[in-house]
Amino acid sequence: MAYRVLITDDSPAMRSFVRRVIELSGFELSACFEAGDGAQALEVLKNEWVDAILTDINMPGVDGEELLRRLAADELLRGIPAIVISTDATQNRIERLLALGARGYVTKPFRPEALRAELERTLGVPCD
Amino acid sequence: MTETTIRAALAGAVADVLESMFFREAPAEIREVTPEEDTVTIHLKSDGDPPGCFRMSLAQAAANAIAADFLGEDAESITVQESTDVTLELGNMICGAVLSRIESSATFRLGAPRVLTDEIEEAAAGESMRYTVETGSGPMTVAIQMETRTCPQTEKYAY
Amino acid sequence: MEQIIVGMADCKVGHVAGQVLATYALGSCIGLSVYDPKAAVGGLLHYMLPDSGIDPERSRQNLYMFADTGIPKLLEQVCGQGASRRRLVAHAAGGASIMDPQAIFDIGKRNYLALRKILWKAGILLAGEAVGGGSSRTVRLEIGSGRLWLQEGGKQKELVASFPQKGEIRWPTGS
Repeated sequence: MAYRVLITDDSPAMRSFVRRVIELSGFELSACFEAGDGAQALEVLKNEWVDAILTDINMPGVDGEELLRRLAADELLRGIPAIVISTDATQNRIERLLALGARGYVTKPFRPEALRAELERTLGVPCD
Repeated sequence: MTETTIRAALAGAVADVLESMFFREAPAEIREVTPEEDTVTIHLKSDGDPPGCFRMSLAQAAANAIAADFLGEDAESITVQESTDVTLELGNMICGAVLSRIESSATFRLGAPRVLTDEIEEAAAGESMRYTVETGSGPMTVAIQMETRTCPQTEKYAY
Repeated sequence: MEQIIVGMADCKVGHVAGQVLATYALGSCIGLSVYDPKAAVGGLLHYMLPDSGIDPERSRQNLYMFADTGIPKLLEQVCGQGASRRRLVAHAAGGASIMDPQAIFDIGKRNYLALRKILWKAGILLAGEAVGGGSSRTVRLEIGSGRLWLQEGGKQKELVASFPQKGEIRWPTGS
């Protein structure tokens, strides 16, 4: 199966890193969209369907928390699994984001294999 | 929050970030640093409990080498933009890792990291905890300045 | 079953079903196993040090001694036998602190980080690992099945069950 993913992070370097991890994890990508903040992500989602969203939290403008809120409020979009990738490893934040509908959480810094494992768990598939 | 706690947080964060995503061993602390001419300095503010500022300086050669490790490329092929982008993210991650260690029960928010240039005012003078390491490609200094409740708050960073 | 021993600072590649590549006494050294289940080609490298820059002359004599020269050579050799880099399943064992229990020199950890850096650059993620600690390890890789065994602390366990053999069809569960 080929996947369509959306990577949302204000850091182009981190978007590259995450994309590389997804590709090296064995997931076949038919599309990989990138967004620099939550507003751009929502704009992408107006026109494109994705199988998973990977999002940072601390972003200018519409941040990751607000993005999760808007996804949860949308009947169609709330079904897309979202994985949060954030520097914030505090328990408060993790619990709050999971309560907002995030299906997975990866704390920066992370090993590439840890993101792969979270992708497999969230998408419910082993990728090899 | 003691000086020892903050220093340990800085050391742990630097080691953790460099090992996980840059595949570099935890660098040794160095006490005396020969000033490098070609350095890049990034700065970001955090809005937590307490709020503070974080700064990271590293030799440009180190920034390029570290960027190459992150992107899985050869150092010679790294562009200036790529080096800058990775350096900003490196600072972002180290700062976040430090704060997660210090403010483990509170929520913090990081401002966007930015490269310090001559035109941008230096951060308000004050005591900051500095920690310098030899990355293997040049020195890197990280510094964090936390506000105390008896001091006036710095201006909120607009982002 | 043909057992092919991989010594210290050594590397072997197998492409005949039934061959077993084996390496012993992985202390601070790293044993890197790569296997392409479709091509049924695999290789096992046992390297000792992270960076050939500390002794370029030695690396010219034996590039398998160092991570930065040995790993690329291993990948080149398995691909030369028909493996595809994209399909390689990689496992690592070793990187322990045996002669250096307080990890003063930390060769094991340095070897491990060198491995991860080089594999990341080569576009390969580890599928599994048994690294660190204070025990010596042994690794065996069976060509054809892709089975991988690890021996540690006197106990052996299978890290990888067999991949489907060439021509073998495995029906999905429930069908």
